[in-house]
Amino acid sequence: MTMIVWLTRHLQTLVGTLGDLSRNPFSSILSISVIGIALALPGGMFAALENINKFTAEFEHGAKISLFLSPEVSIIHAKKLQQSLAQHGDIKHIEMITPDQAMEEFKLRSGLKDALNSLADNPLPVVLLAYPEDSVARSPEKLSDLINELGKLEPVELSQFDLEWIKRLTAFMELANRAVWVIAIILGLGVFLVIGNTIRLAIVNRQEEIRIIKLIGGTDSFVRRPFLYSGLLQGLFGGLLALLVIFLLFSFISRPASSLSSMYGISFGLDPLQLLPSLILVSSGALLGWLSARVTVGVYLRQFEPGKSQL
Amino acid sequence: MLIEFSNVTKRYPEGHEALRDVSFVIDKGEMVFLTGHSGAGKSTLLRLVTLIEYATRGQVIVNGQNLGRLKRPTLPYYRRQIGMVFQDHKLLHNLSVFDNVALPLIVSGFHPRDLRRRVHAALDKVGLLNRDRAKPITLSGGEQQRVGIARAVVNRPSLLVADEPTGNLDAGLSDEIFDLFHDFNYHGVTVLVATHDLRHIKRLGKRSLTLEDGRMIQQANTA
Repeated sequence: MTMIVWLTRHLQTLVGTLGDLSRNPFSSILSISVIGIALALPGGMFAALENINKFTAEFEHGAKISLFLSPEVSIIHAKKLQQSLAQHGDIKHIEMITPDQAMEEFKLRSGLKDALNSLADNPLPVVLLAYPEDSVARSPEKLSDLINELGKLEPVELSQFDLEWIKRLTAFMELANRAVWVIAIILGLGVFLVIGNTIRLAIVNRQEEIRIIKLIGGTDSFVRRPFLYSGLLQGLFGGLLALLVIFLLFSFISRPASSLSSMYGISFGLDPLQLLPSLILVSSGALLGWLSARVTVGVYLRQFEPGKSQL
Repeated sequence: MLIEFSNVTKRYPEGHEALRDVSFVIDKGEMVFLTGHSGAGKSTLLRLVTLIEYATRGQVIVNGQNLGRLKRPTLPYYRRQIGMVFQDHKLLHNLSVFDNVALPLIVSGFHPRDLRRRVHAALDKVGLLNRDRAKPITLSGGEQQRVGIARAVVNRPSLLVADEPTGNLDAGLSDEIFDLFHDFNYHGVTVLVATHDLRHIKRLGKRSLTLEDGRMIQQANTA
């Protein structure tokens, strides 16, 4: 078969299949919608997780351990401790907040300026802020080790990690990541079955045509081709619909999300799916459709073998 | 020879024995009638030739190929050598007459450039060139059968097989159909026609094979 004939055939099938889909708009739209929703769920969850990851990364960047020193520790003593801790391998950077600085900030933030002014002594201790290395900040175990280690130092009264909840969130994210995969597999199977069913109906409707094509010498691949295109196109359109749903959803929640993050002092824009995951989503829809059609037609074509009832 | 049956028996899965120990030979370029009462096994014999069914016992050889040993993927290519005409025409009613006739060419990957010419030649042969845009449902029974014949010959097969092609047609239309077969045979196509209408056998003076209850009881040169 020449290239021209091959191309002509495929183009004809493609156009013909598009025509078939548009001739049955109701059932086409229905099955494409089901596929779209089924793909939008894991796709959207994946996008949400990516955003939470990005959001917590912003925090981890500024994650710090506060070391509250005993009240009797002098500023000079504290400076020495600061210098020795700066050499620590797990600490990126260390800052000191003197009681005076702390008091100024407290007055500014608490709105209790007058009450605080009336205090004779400054009761606040010296605080050292230790910023852990990124690799430590990302690992809950290493972080706890560091917090414990610093807490055992002589002048330190209390060692406290400010973002305990991020540790929990990171652990939760691990779980959620797995859950997204499980959901993606289950819904992918659902898409497979939905497309398989529409293909099955199409085969039943075109049984007579298949029988005649087989009798006049049509190969299995000739019979299969329009159904493969049908599955592929349904999956493709379903994937595109899923992408559209995800983008609409994200644009719907992006304003409250950015105002929420600004409350944490972070400027954070909500990103829907990036280009690569979007492509993966759409192409996995198309691939699932093709695969499902392939399997379904394969099963039904066996009825058109010699000696079988349908021939 | 083109078709050779050697001691062929066909038993259907439900136990019915449709052909029993049938042997015969059809030479290349022959036109042969297959007769017998309904249920005698005519259709089964044609189903074995067109590989819709496999023989239970014995050997069927067509065009030098032992059909029992034909590999599955080569089956479509085998069927392309055979033009099939059915009693119920088996036309696709959502396609035009032209597209119905073009189907065997499309299926076998015929170059689109030459397709129109070949389809028109086949339609011209059966006298329906002016109806190529029509839908089969708008044609009479005789015309539909002629479309079926055009589809069967458009691929220029070496063998033409017809199962009761005039079963639903009156005498005048039947004559036209059989004259068409006769004409194809005259141009070198081997023709095997199953019919219970003995009139055509007499009229055309061709060999006939007679089946009765699954056995071949007569291989007459002229009935």
